Amino acid sequence: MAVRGATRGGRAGKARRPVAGRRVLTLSCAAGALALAAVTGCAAQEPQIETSDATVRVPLTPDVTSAYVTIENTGGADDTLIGADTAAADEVQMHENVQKDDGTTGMEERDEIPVKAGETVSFEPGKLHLMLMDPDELKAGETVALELRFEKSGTVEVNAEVEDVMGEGAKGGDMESMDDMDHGDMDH
Amino acid sequence: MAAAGAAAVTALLAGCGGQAATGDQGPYNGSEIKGAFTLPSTEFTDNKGEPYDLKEDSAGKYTAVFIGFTNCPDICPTTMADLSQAKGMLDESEQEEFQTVFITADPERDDPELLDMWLSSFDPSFVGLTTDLEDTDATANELGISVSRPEDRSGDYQVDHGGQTLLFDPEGNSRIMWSYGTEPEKVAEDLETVIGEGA
Repeated sequence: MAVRGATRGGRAGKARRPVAGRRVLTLSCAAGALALAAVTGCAAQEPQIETSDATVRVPLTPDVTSAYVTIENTGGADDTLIGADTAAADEVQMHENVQKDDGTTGMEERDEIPVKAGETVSFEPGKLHLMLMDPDELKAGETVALELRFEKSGTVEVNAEVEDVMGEGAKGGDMESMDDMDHGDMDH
Repeated sequence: MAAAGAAAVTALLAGCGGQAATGDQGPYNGSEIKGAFTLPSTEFTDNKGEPYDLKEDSAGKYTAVFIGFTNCPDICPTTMADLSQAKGMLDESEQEEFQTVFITADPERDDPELLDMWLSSFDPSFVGLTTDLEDTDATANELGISVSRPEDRSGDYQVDHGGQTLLFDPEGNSRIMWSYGTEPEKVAEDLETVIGEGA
């Protein structure tokens, strides 16, 4: 399902670098290299964030619900998810389920979630979720705009479909997220 | 080094899949825990506001017990949805021999009305139980399920709890434990097996 953007050339600047610095004085060589790095850096070393499978669960209580999304960084540089927001809830927190030493399963809030170049981070049940505090009354089939804030890529808006926890909000089929516990969901 | 790396990867994979879902040893997909735990005769209030003795009132059916709380946005609703789906995979007579009991680990917030509303999203036949903190923790302890809540419970807080579901036989003795994430198909298979054994 993941929509892949055009892969940015990671090696474009590499071949040209020695040529650019060869005939200039030391000082301007450094300046030239800096300028070149700045120019090629734009092309080769930007993260590129693609999102897919965004869902929000119909709130089962007025206090809280969860949202899930798959984030893929198809660019050439790492990025970090630093927060999320939506008009459909008072607050959005990023949580990870962790197995604790005392045998309990607990949620820990995360301030930062790295999305490295070429990697996919899946928010999915039992793993990572966005926790929506005091959500609006949401009905299955509605769409909620989630704003994902990245350190480098800025705000990425995602339209998430509201799904019933039993999967009735899913469009036909039975491929709702709760059944899909695959951790290796890369691409197709 | 390579061997250590491979071992680490295996451990990682095993951790992801959940060991109870593989079940290479026993007769079930979940872990066999025959007789390890017994349902205590603790007095709860159910989601209809009626008194409910955990042992007496659940007797006569295979009973899945899960401890959680309604403000839990991820693990608890996923588990309840999975149990509901598993039940839906059974035939009618098997369904009549099976019930699900959800005990709140957060009785200060989860009253019977809230439990009733929450459980109705999954299956109106699911039973929700609440009691005081002391009996809640004693019950969790007897069932080998850890519960830990923060000292300061003034604002939005989360309760840590074991993610496993225990299946008890009609006499209240434990039979199977499913770890979090065991697929509904696997749970249904186990229920068919265990109900078949008892028939």
